[in-house]
Parts: sequence; structure tokens; C-alpha cells
Amino acid sequence: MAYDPLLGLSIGELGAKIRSGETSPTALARAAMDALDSDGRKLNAVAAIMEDRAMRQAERAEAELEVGHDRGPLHGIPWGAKDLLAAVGAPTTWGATPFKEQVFDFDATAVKKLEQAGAVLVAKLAMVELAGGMGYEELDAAWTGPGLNPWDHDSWAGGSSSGSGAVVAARLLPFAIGSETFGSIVTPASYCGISGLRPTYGRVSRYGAMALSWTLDKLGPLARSAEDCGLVLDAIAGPDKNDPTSAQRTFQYPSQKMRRDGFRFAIPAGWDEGTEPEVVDNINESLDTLRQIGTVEEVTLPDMPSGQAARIIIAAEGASAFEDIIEDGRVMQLQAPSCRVKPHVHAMIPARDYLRAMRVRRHVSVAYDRITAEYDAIVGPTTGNVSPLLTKGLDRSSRPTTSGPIGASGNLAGLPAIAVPNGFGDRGMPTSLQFTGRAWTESRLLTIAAEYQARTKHHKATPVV
Amino acid sequence: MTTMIQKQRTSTAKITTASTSWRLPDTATARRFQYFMPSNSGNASDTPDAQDIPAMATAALARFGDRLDAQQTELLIKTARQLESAAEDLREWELSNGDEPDTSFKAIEGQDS
Repeated sequence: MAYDPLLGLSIGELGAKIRSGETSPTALARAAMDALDSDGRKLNAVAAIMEDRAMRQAERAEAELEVGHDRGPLHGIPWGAKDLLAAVGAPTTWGATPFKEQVFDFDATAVKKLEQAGAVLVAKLAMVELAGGMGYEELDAAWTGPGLNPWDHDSWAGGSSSGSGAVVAARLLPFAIGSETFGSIVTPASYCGISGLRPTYGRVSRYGAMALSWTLDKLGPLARSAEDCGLVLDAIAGPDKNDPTSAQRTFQYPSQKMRRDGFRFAIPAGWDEGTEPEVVDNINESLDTLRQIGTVEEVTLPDMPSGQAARIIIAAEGASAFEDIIEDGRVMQLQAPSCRVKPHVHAMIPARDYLRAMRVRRHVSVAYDRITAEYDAIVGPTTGNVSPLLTKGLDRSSRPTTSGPIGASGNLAGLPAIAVPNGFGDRGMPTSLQFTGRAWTESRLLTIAAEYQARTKHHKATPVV
Repeated sequence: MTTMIQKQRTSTAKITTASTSWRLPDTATARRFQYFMPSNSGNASDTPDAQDIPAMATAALARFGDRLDAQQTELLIKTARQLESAAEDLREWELSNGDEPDTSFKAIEGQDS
């Protein structure tokens, strides 16, 4: 095992050690790259290690600190980018064979903002090909191979931000950036036993990120704790003239105005249907913990065709975003057999079906705004199951279970959510608790999740890689 | 656009002017449908005939069918059915004339003049 135990520390702890001289940005960058090159590759979690860029950034970070120029909590902290973020210094493959040689000569806005915050980009991290938008049914749907779970190498890391989830869980990096169209941040967070924040749609600029579904794609952090997620979101959030969907809002973490208790939580009626027994037990235990900082009541969610609308929208927008490879046949180079087929029919979704889905979506947004306005957070299992064994495929028919009770509606309405580990279930694999809030309430969700983590130790559990 | 039209013209299937109205596959394309047509071998009642194939699948096969083998064609049709089913569910949701799609379009910012 090559990795440095320092990499298992939180962002705050690492920052303190950098400033005390106990370690340095260059030492951390080197340790992280060594760890990724050995254990990270064993997990199929690495797309590229960015040695030259990383060492340049780390040396600069070190030199700046020596002269008293401190860029803040991320200064000198190594991180990894899901391989759908453009970054100078390595190919950006989108996890897909047809794009293995793709190189961009600019940085995505999120990459640029993290550089401005002093963070050191050390690697591009593996992902499900084309962020899973082609409807993959196989768990090895990536040119890097199946994302392996650090808790059990025979189990899946989750998708589509597989590498981002795995390396953070394995303590190879303190944080990574992932993306979510429908579940791609919170699912690997759940399966790998880490914290993952899906911000409100528009909170983080997607400029330079691969487009799968323009109206659903979001970027967000995967880290060891809610607090670390907050620190990263602080760095990457904000308006961007290059992304017209980015909101004209600023975000600051930690927010000084947040209350620490007296929260009102809701749990959807029927949340435990089709949910694995251990997941149910752990959620019930979590609810007991949450009652220490608030009240929990059951709420009946409206019966709306959210899953169906999400399916049509992602398929139609994805087929448009990747029209070129569908037309010229490169889609047949994709890894997963299902991904070579489904885009051909996604491309034929009639405009009226897409538009109807988008019209229904407005109803979903309004309905869920009303519900989330009543509570500080809707809680429930992030996924109704633990990570599946690699020998099993992804059963799309169980999607409502694998995405939790509010996955489709939450993504359709662009709502923020944070997933935090809350114990272990079948085969000793992690389970996860999700908080979903009203749009733009990330500060509140992060505060709640931090309060939950202050009362539990699940986020401290470490797998043996 | 020119490229698209040229591609359509060279396709093995002919496309009518109505976007969702596709002719049944011509002979070359129909051969690829054989897997789904009643045949002397196997149980004919278990295999859907071409009439059961959703329009989306017919369109996809007319345009891209050359690339797909029988197993892939089966998955394509299954996927089309799932999409069709999702679309049917959405059609049951009552919408009024004023219900606009939730698109992200907005005019490019500029100054009033």
C-alpha cells in the first residue's frame, strides 16, 4: 500500500497540517498521485494522472504560503475531477472509447475556480461512459472497466461518478468533483460510504463539462464529510457568463446565520417499500438521531410521473447532445452493449413527447417547491439498496428503489440534496441517508448534515483497500 | 441539414414526409425484422410481428438497422416500448393550453433601446 495516511484527513485537518509545516502541497500531491497510481488504478478509478500540472500547481501553492498568500481552506489540497471536466494537461475522455484521444485547451469553470482557491488538480477520475446517459445496463460501462468499490472489490462503486466516489472513500483524495443528471453524485456517495452534494440546478457553472442533458446536469463535490462538501461548493459555486444557466447567486460556507436545531424533517410515506431491510433499519436509527435536532413527520408525496418525464428528457437531450456519434456510427464503439443500441431509438423520440415531459416537469417543480417549502429537509434512503455485486447488472426496473423515493422528482425540479453515510447493510456495504431541500437551500442542508455527522461516526469509517 | 437529407435518401428504408409516419420496412430492412415475425420454426405466438413495433423503433431501424444484429434489434424494440410506455403515462397527465414546457431558453441579455 503506497498511500499516505495524511490523505485520510479532512480538508480542514489537512489545511492545518500544511500551515503548521507538518506536510506541504507538493508532498501531498506526490502522495496522492502515488496512491492513485497504485490503489486508484486497482479500483479502475483513474482515467489520467496529471503529474506535470499537479506539481506546478503544488509548487505555486507552496511558494504562495511561504510569502503569506493564503487562498483559503482548499489551498494546497489535492483533488480529482470526473473525466467529463475539461482540463489542460490530460485528455478528457468522457469515459467513452470514441473520445479517448479528446483534448481540450481550456479549463472548465469549476476547474478554474478550484485552481483559484489553491486546490491542486492531480487526476482525472473514471466515470461511466457518457455519464450513463445512453441507458447502460452493465456495470462495466466505461473504457476504464467497472468501477470497483473500496469496501468490496467484487461490488460496484456506483455511477456515473464512479472514480470520484471510489477514490474519496479509499482515502486516496480528500475530495473530488462529480456530476449528476439523475443520481450520479448521490449514488456513488451512497454505495461508497461518503458524503456527496448535488447542488441546486444552476448553482455551479457547467462550462467545460460534458453535456448530457442540458436541463438536468449538475456538478458537485464528493468528500468525507458535509463540512468538506460545503468548503468545496463555496469554491465552485457562482455565476458564470459562459454558462447561461448558472444562477446570479453567490454562496458562502459556512453560513453564519444558520440555526443548529429546531429543524422540521419529513419522510415520504411508503419510503421503505422495496427497500432492503438493513437500509430500513439504518434509516430508522438515523431518524432517532434527527429527532435530537428537530421533528420528523411523514408526508405523502404527490403521485406524479416524474420518473417517466426524467427518462424521456434524458434520452432525448442525450441523443441530441451525442447526435454526431449516433449518426456516424461511433456509438457502436461504446463499451456497454446496451449503450450501443439504445441511443438509436432515443434519437427518434418525437418532439411532442419531449415537450410533454417538459410541460409535466413544470408541474413537478411547482408541487415539490410547495412540499420542500414546508420542511427544512425531506429525508430518506439515498438508495434503497447497497452496492450491487459486479456479477449483477443494473436492473432498470428497480430504478425507483435504487434512486430513493425522491430521486426523479428532486432532479427534475433541480433541488439540492446531500447524501451522508448512515451505517452498513447487506454484505457489510455502506448505506446512506439523503436530505433533499428546497432550491437554493444548500447552506441549510449542509448544516443539518453536519449536525447529523457531529452525532454519528459513520463518515469516519474507512475501508481497507 | 444537407447531410441529413442525403443520408436519408441513401437509407435502405424510404421516409415519408410526415415525421412520425414511416412506411413499413422495405425488403432489405424487413429481412432484419424476420427475427420478430412469425416463422415456421419456434412458437409464432411468442414473437411480436412488425405491427407491434413502436413507431420509434421502426424509425430507428429504418435509419440505423444496418448496424444492428438480431439481439440488438430486440433490445432496441424493447427500449422503444419502454419509452412509449413512459410517454403514455405522461399523456395521462392533464395539461392545459397555458402549461409551458420548462425549458431553459432565455433571450440573450442586452440593453433596452
